[in-house]
Amino acid sequence: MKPATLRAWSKVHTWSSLTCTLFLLILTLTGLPLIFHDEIDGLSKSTRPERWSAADLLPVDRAMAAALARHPGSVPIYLSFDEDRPVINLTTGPTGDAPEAAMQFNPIDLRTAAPPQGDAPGHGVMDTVLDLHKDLLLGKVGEYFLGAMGLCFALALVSGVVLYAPFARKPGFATVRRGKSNRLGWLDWHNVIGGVTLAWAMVVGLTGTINTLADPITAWWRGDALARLAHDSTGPIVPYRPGIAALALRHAQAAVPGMTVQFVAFPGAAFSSHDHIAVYLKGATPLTAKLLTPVMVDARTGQVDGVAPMPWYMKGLLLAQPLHFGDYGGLAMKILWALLDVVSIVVLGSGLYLWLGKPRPARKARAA
Amino acid sequence: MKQAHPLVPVAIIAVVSLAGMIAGLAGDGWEDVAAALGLTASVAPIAWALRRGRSLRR
Repeated sequence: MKPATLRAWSKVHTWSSLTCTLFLLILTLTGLPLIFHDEIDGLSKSTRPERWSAADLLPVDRAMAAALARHPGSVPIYLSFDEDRPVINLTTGPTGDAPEAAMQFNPIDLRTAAPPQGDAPGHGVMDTVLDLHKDLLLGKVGEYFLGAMGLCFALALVSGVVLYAPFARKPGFATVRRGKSNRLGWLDWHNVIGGVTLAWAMVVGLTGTINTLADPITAWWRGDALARLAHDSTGPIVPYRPGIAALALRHAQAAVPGMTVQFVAFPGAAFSSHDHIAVYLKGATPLTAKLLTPVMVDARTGQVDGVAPMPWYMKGLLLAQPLHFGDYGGLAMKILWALLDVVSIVVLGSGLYLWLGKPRPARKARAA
Repeated sequence: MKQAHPLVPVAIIAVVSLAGMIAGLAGDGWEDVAAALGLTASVAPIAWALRRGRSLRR
């Protein structure tokens, strides 16, 4: 490689890294507890798993009626199911297309048709850590900013590999020179760790960027594939009729056997249409559990109107989440993910140290 | 003997890690083992470099 090309790549690496280092340090530190969010959340819950018999459970429609009776004039917007207990979560609002701020979240125990006992209300510590990781507590602006930082990180990784190649010939792979100077030792550690964690860092960085684009990607899908599937009318929102939810669930599951319900969107909701109940089904494996299949059920008759797998860009978005958090391969994978997170902090710290400790003449010469 | 390109081991580790991460998405049995092995390929050289550094110092 020509010296001028090398210098150009060095500049790209330096400035793309410096731009994102501080934010990546925040992301790696907040990401560490998020890898173990299931275990941390489990600490505050009862350790004894709940047991119940299907015969003791109320029909979904009766539990929904109990929730709606608590909020007269409200209509159902979304319905989801807890995995570890017989509880449904009904989101209600004044209208089917109510904004998020007007929605109310109602967990209902299918054994009692009442809110489940022992639920901790409010925002937990892990929710705050997630918000900090997601958007630096700055909302959408913070989210898109972190998405841009993810792209900077990807550029820093690519330029780092380009720079690593000519220098790696001398010491050899995974060699850390000792005794010459601290700086040389840290440069070798920076290169070794950066090189061997390249694929992981690239996957986590790029999936993080994809996750920040969830809203525009979902909006595109709603206007494109979902609208085509629902062949939506611009007429009024079909009102909710008691009994229709159970019928829609039954018909949707019969249309796609072997799948279970992830959530339901009622007419008017962002994930449905004005005249459909959208039932989102998931598969049994970690892969198919993420790739949701929407089944559009006519909100008047309860008959299935259309089924279609998600388009490629939605599949990419749905898979970006597990690939970012590394929570799909059991505890061994989580521990390795956490180790990689820690060593990436070493790469960031050593990069900063190398830049700060760069000899002044070298900096001046480069500036000239 | 001709020396391999210095990026060859980096590329091999990247491919193995990536294959493991993707395999882990496909199921809960051997797929999880493949994911753990793939990620170990990224962590092991660091442990090796640490160990080698210690033995060089002695």
